[in-house]
Formats: sequence, structure tokens, C-alpha cells
Amino acid sequence: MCREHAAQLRDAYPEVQRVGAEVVAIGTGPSMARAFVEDYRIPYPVLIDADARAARAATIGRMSFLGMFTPASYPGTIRAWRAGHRIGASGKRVTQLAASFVVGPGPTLHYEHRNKHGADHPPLDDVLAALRR
Amino acid sequence: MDVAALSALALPDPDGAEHRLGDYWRDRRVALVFLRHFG
Repeated sequence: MCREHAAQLRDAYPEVQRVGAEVVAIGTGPSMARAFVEDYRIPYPVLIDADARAARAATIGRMSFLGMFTPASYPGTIRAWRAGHRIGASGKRVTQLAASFVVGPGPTLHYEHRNKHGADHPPLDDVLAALRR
Repeated sequence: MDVAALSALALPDPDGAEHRLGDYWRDRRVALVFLRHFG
């Protein structure tokens, strides 16, 4: 669940800054972006990809409507709900999958995790390890 | 994943200010996270 991962990165942000790295989150539409930043006290930059230009450049995948309810997502959804991460109103492009990358300096890709379903996200330790190298 | 094409894009923040993506990772590593949606 991307709210869970966004919160993990928020909590790890001091460590990210300590190693001289940054976090940038990209969401799909403007209507709920500000509430998301405020509700989750997101300290890193959050940008809005309303027309999916960035999603296309990053070849972000999509799932079917029924794919949002795949049983593979149940354990992660239950874990996230128990931790207090609740999905509110549906945003834009709800079938767009999430993904995480570590890039830079320059146009160099070091790590990628393309989420397989709505409750998937990369292990935080893997992201932090890629940022430290 | 076309990092060069992604680097050239500029996206707005919630206040409407545009930010060129490549500026974020010009001289450092960045965890770039595509969220499903904000809801």
C-alpha cells in the first residue's frame, strides 16, 4: 500500500538526508495531493503527474479493475490497515500500479521495484541500501 | 524506464510550482516513488 510506504519513507527521511540523498514522490492527480501531504506530514517533495507523462516515461504498469482485489494483496492490505493506513476516496488512475526507483547522480538507475498489486511495495531496507551505495 | 526522458520532465507540486525532475538527481541519489493515488 503506497500510504504505508510513504509513511516508512517519512520516518526514514532523517537517515535519507544524513546520507545526502532525497525522496521524491509522484502522485496521479491534484485534488487530494495537499491533504495527503498534510495528513501524512510528508517532509519530502511531492509532485503531481496529472497527465501521466512521468508514468509513461517510467513505463509504470497498470492492472485491471479486478486486479485491485487480487487475493495476493490481502495480507499487505490487512497489515497496512492494522497499522492505521486507510484508503480514503479513490484518486485519479486507480488502476495505475505504484513503483519505486533509485536514480542519480545523473540519469543512472540503481534500483527498481515495480509493485505487483495494490498492497505491494519494496522493502524499505532495500531502498535505503540503494541510496547509501 | 527512460531516466533521460524522465529527467527532462517538469511536474507541479501541490502549490502549482513546477519542478524539473532531473534537478533532483543531478548530483545525488534519489528514491523516486510513484504512488498509486493520493486517496
